[in-house]
Amino acid sequence: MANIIKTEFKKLKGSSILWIGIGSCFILPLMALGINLSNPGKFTWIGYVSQNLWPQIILLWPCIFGVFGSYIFCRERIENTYKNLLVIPVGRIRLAIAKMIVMLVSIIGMSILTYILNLSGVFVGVSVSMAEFGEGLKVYLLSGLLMFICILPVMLVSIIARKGFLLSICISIVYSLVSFLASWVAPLAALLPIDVVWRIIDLKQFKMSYSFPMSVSYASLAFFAIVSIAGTIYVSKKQEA
Amino acid sequence: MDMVLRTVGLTKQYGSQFAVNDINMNVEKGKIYGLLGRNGAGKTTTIRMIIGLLQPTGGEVILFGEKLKSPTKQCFRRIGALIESPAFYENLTAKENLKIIYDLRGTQSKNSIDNALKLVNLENETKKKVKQFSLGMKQRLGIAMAMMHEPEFIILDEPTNGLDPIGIQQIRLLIKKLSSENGVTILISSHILSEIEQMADKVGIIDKGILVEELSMDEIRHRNRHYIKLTVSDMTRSVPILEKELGISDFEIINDNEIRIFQSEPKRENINKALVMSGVGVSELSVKKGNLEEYFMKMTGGVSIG
Repeated sequence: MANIIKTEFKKLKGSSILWIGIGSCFILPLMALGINLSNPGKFTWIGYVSQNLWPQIILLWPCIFGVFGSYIFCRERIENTYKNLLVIPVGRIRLAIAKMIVMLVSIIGMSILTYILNLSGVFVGVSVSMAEFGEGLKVYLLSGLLMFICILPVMLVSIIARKGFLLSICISIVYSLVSFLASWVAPLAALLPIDVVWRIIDLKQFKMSYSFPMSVSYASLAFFAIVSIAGTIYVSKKQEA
Repeated sequence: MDMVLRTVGLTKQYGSQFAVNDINMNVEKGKIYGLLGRNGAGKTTTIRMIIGLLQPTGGEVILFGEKLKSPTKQCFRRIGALIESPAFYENLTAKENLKIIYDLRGTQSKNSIDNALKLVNLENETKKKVKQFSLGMKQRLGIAMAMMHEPEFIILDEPTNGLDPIGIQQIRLLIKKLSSENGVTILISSHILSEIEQMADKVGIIDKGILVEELSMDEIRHRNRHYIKLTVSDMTRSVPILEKELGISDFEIINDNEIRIFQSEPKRENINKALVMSGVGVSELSVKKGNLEEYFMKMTGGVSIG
């Protein structure tokens, strides 16, 4: 398994999706920097990174992570390289699990990079202590981990549909827009994965109302995670047979 | 006789359609086996079933003497395969692509990547990404990938597809070298008759999913012996002359004007004389030799390929 994971990372080397993923980490920190240049010193560190985090979760990350994950999962089929792996043989289930791990590590990596890039805020007067930095990092790490779960259903649909990246992009955009709009609908906000992430990380600036207690939101997220992982393994097994 | 591969009644059915039906192939150790057939004849389906990429709906595959139910890593270590057009991670170099396969296979010598690249003359393409490779380079890299772990049995599905004549020759020489110098057993599929003719020790002719014939090149050469090609103006008058006057019995009527005589006696001048004296015009009378193409056409009852 370690070898499969290692080779999955190697496959990303020099790929355009890797640069898109890395590039996307710059978007919101740079936008925040640009916006605040005219009004420096307005935010605390936690306030500043939280302000940058909510659009990441609700809009940017679902799209970027969705496309990134689809690339990892679908490229073998699109580029017809599955056959090279299957004659080794590398089982589809092991490959699917390896790809999920690579996706998780990459998403957390991108979350950390985005967080670090928020340090550009010091140019607009945002001050940061070690304790604050650590606290913010925990929030971003948790967000990355939870966003991985949110993206799993997109991966499952992409694998089942056996289409190109375009479908994944469309699904990701619809998914993030629906989640964004659902954040004002109390029952949905407590159940849809992306809205649940928002609820769990509990951004102070944005208090939404929820119809169900927190435990229901956790259960909903766990349900999506289990169904997506089990579905991915089942579909991979079916394709192997 | 040691068999590396045997298929017994290998069948693949989609609904009521047979993609491949009751294939019985026998690939001997150390030999080059040419699977010959038109595009869509069932070559790739057969190969995909042999290496476990496709589940047969009937029959069995016996590899290295063992029935292949679900292919094991042990078994695949002994096999290298290039299926259809080669596919790679285009954002990586040739070496990086091979390194991925190397890492996944494990237990190979450290030099296997360099050796494989050297064998296919790609050792100097260290910086170029695969997306910048020509089709010929990709085919060669595909062969390098198939043989990097020094397998005993290499399966190459249409390895010369899309190559220029020099590329084809390079691949042909490489395949022959692998067989003669390294003793590797090779199964090569192609729709190019001349390719198979120049490389194979044994040929399986597949048509419409059925293996219509399996025989050695020596047998094909024997069956495609010399003949006299006779083109006449009047077939109905010619046949009795050949049979009764000249006593020829081993001949074949090809069309309204062409006859092939497989006997060395009587001599050509006597045949010509007898026909002309009877008022039959003879426009051609020459000695010919059959080849695999003609044999293929005869076996499949169709038009030429390749």
